[in-house]
Amino acid sequence: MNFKEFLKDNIVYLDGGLGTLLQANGLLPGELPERWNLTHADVIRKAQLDYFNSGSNVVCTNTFGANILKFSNSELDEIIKVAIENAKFARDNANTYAPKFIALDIGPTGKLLKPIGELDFERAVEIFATTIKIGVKYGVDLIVIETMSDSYESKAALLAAKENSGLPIIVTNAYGANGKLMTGATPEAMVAMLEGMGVSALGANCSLGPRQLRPIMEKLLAVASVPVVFKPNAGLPKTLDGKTIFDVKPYEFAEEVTALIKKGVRVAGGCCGTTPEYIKELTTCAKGVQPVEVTDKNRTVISSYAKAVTFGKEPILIGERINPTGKKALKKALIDNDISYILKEGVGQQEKGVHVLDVNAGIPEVDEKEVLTNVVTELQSVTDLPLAIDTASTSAMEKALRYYNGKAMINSVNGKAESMQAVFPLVKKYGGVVIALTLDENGIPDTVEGRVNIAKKIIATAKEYGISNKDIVFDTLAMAVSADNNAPSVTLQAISRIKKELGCNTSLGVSNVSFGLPMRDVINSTFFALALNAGLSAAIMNPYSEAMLKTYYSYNTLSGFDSDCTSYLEAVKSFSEAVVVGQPKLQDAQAVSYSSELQEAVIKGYKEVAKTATEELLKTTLPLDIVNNEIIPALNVVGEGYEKGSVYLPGLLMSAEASKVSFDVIKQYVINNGVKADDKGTFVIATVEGDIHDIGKNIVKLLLENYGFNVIDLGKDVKAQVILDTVIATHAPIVGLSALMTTTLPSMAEAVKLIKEKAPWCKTVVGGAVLTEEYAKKIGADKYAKDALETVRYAQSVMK
Amino acid sequence: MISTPTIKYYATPDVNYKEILRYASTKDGERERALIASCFEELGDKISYGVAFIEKTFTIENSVVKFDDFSVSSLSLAKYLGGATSVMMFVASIGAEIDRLIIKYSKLEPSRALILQAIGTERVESLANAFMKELKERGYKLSPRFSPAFGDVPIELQREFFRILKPEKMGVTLNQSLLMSPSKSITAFIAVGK
Repeated sequence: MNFKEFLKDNIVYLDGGLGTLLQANGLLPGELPERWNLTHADVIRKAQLDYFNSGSNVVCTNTFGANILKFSNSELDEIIKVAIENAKFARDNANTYAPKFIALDIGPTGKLLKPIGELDFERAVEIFATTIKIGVKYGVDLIVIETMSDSYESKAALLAAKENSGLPIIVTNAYGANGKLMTGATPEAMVAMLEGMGVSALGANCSLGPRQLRPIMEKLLAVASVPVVFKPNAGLPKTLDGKTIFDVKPYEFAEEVTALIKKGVRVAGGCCGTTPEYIKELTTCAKGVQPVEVTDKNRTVISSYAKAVTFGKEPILIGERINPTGKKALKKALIDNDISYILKEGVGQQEKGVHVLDVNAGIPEVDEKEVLTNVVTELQSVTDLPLAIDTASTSAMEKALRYYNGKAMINSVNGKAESMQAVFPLVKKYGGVVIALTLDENGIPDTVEGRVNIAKKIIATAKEYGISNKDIVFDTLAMAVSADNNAPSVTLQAISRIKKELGCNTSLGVSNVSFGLPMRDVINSTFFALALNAGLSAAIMNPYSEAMLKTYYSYNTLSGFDSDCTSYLEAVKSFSEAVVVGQPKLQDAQAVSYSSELQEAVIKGYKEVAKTATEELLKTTLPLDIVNNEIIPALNVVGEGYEKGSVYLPGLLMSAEASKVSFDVIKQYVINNGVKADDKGTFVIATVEGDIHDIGKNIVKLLLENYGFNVIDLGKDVKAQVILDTVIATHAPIVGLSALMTTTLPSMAEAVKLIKEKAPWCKTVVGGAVLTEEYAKKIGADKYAKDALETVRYAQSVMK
Repeated sequence: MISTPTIKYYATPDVNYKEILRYASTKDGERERALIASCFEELGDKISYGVAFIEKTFTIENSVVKFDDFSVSSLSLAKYLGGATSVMMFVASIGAEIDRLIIKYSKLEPSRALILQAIGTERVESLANAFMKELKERGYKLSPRFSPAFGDVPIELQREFFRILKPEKMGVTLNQSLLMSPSKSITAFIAVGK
């Protein structure tokens, strides 16, 4: 019997802890336990034999930390080979009749992935893949990925396992006392991602005892459609006479775990502090307990690195603003790689209350595959909303899905054979909920029947790929009512039939309906209400449209989703008829007078006021005059205050941010009206290779933008060659380099040298915590700037 | 002697407001107060307080400090530990979620990133203080803590802290550059019995 068959109808017992046993046999703190496979094979074999004899069905190889970060390739091969031999020895000499399996044990790399740490996602996949390939070569029955405290690292390991073996895979995570992973994922988010990628079982291990993990297990059991794994510690660690002991006794452990087996846990074992005695107690205690059947919870769910979003109850709002179609400013931002503009679009929509962000980077001027992935990764560093990957390019879709942290929405597939052939394998491999458009080779049917039939065809084809109904959301296509006054009714009836007859969720790009008509908001929001009433589960919409939000919140209230009308009452505060509470209209408390509202807003750092004041000024004043007569003088007041020591850095930054808001308004106006922008010159900026700190660099960038420079921000950890290439490509007269750590100063020296050699026209200005005037001179930089303002002053002198 | 590596989580230590202002190099103004308060509000329960620690004996010979399975050649560490009966090694960290916010705001709103940085530094220092206070209550006589890279103590010593304490179990990792992720983490020695 193979593992999958055994798992289907039985409770599976895993082994317990190994660390405690090895320590008792003399493993020192800091010694690598994986080497004991070779040096103390007898100890490992005895422990594993004891586990099999205590009733374990699965024993994990002693390979938790066996990876190429800790061992050379040849030693790694040897360690894994012997670890598997040891486990097989235990299996072959055990005295029970229970089916026995050997699992290749995979623990975390011990490095944090980007953006918090420095490990690249693909590098993480490669590290896991190396271990897994060796394990597969020497023969195991399944792969156990365990103690993962980061969703992204879990994904890297799972992907490596899927790409290098056809074995069953179990993934268990280490949840903290707050019920989440260290990097923020809830149990629901983990279930979404792991099930989406096709694990055989999932659950929790380590970190806490059975009692503390119980609430997490209940959450997992409530949402998981695959068997749930429970592998707690023997309670919490305590120090007694200088030794660490765990506070739960074997019989207590057995009772707690058995109670959860009765609730539905199907795979059970122990982690830190547990011994064969604990497993013996457990298998004895749970003897005769009938396995609870694993049922499909039939949830349509997507996730980010932190949270899950479920379709089918309250309607889901998908923000449509990150899409260059018809948006000049966004198109320009994509071409200029102006990430901060795009990030603000993301965060702004989140503040308006959307649940998912649609991300489309499809313009002919850029390499969509790279840009889309970059935008997705960057967005995930500033928002915890799940994303909808919106692209017509299969290669861009694949790369973005690969790097995405969580289970994404995929926008979109349709009934054409070619589309399904391209998209479904990606859904299967990376997980995802796919939006399926009810059109095919023959176009969009103009009957309800026609659209429902395409939906049926899509479902049947998806099934061949192993994708179930719950991972498909149908878009029945909103068409312009101005072109065909029967069109909306077909769309709405199709929604209702797909929901009733096929049991699937639906989504609409609502605003297409009003194409060609005036006052589109009125038509859109009314159509939205009708669609919601027809059973629509989600809408791709503009969250800045107040009419749409009004419909959404009132619908929720009227449909009983909003207890005590709480959300509605909260939402109306932001509507334009409501009395605005927020940042005060400026009434000067101090005796200082300001020459304009905008100047005062910039000096005091009020962003909202800066925005409205700029919009007001633009009605009467030329953009360039606002910059030169209002913003720059205000910034100078703050800058002088900073230099004199009466204004501090946070104050300086708040002013800079307020003026940035003002600039953004002006920039938008300039783009929309084709006025020529005031460009003080190009400034290339980067944090040097090896350095992952960029607060300082970002502050300098912000101030430079304030003073009208066209800043090209290459980000952090940037190779010297990339900096040079950019300088040459833009013929930038100046480049700014930042380094925080002494260890990365050589990279800065290298970059300066390269630029001096290959781009002699370009001035170099350097800064950062560890930098000194002397060092700057030594490496041949043109200028050492002690802070952001000094950089601005220097840039002004260079550009003159 | 606490001779096996132990991980312990602490309750929220009291906030030292002045230290936050100092780390942010700012004055105590209305605007600053509002910003700090709103950062704390956003942080909510996103901070955890974990410490991994172990107590070790050592000998000193000619400015080389020898532990059971590693040694350090450092005049300043030898001086610091001279006269102590044992030494506590620890890693303290307030977790990764504050780093997410710092990353986010460093891209969108640097003033907020700056304050979050300052809060993070204050929080992890206060955590280390809470850890030491508890040891003192248990009867330990402690000297002020001493970290790798202080004086002539090599930063490479970070590797020994990680090898022995395995703080990866509470989510703290060591980067190639020997700095830690999450960034708001501290490693240090504490001389005992001086």
